[in-house]
Amino acid sequence: MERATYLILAYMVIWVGIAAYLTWLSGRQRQTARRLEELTAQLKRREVQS
Amino acid sequence: MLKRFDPFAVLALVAIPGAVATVFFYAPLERTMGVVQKIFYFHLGLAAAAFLSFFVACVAGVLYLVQRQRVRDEQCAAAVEVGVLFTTLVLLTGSIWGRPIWNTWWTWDPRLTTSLILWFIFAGCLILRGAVEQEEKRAVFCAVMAIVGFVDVPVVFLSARRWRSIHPTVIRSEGIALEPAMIVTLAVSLFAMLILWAALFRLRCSIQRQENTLLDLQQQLQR
Repeated sequence: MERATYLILAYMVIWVGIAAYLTWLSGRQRQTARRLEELTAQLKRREVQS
Repeated sequence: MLKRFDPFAVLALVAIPGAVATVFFYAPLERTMGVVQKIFYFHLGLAAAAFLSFFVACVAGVLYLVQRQRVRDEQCAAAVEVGVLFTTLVLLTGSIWGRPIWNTWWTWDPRLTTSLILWFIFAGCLILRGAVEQEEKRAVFCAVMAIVGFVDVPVVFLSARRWRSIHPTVIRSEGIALEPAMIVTLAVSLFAMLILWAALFRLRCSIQRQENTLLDLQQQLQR
């Protein structure tokens, strides 16, 4: 492999790694927001019932 | 996803392209290693940010054990996670640099071995966090592991100086063994990586806080 290929590979690993982590965090945050919405709806239903 | 006005996230969006441009368009070409030496600027930046992360995890761990505040556990967990990510990237980029320079992807050099041990300690801490369900127990385990694991950080730093190592040492007691343009590039990439670390750490802390709030709400509803 050419030396430039290693350089490109290293920079790809860094930015793909960070992008993957950000994507995973984004998924976690979306899941938390969804659960929060469900919980709020559940609370509202309880209030109506009581 | 990133907080709209998080100053560190905004700064990272400016600093990282700036650092990449400095590495590729300003830094001179190293005579013996050639272009592959340019990996070093971000490799060292990532390593510094990983060390900072584990230091923060250690301090947050100590504070949790003293104060028993949930916020300290959130900080400890966030620092460990971002630190493991950065250490993974350090090991990978180092391995990619080593292949054309040392003619091998991996060697059991003191610096590489102690770095791998550091990765295993903190990755173990993350696995432990996922395995323990009881919140307080999990926080105590994580705090203790972060404190004990941090002992390896100075060992990693000094390994290439104290033991026979083939890993290059740039920062020496006599000064930085680089030419001025390379020092500027190193400083810029170091700054960018530390800003990125701060942005990721703050983001991870806020998500952890949201998850804990959600957990509290769920427990209140179940009562």
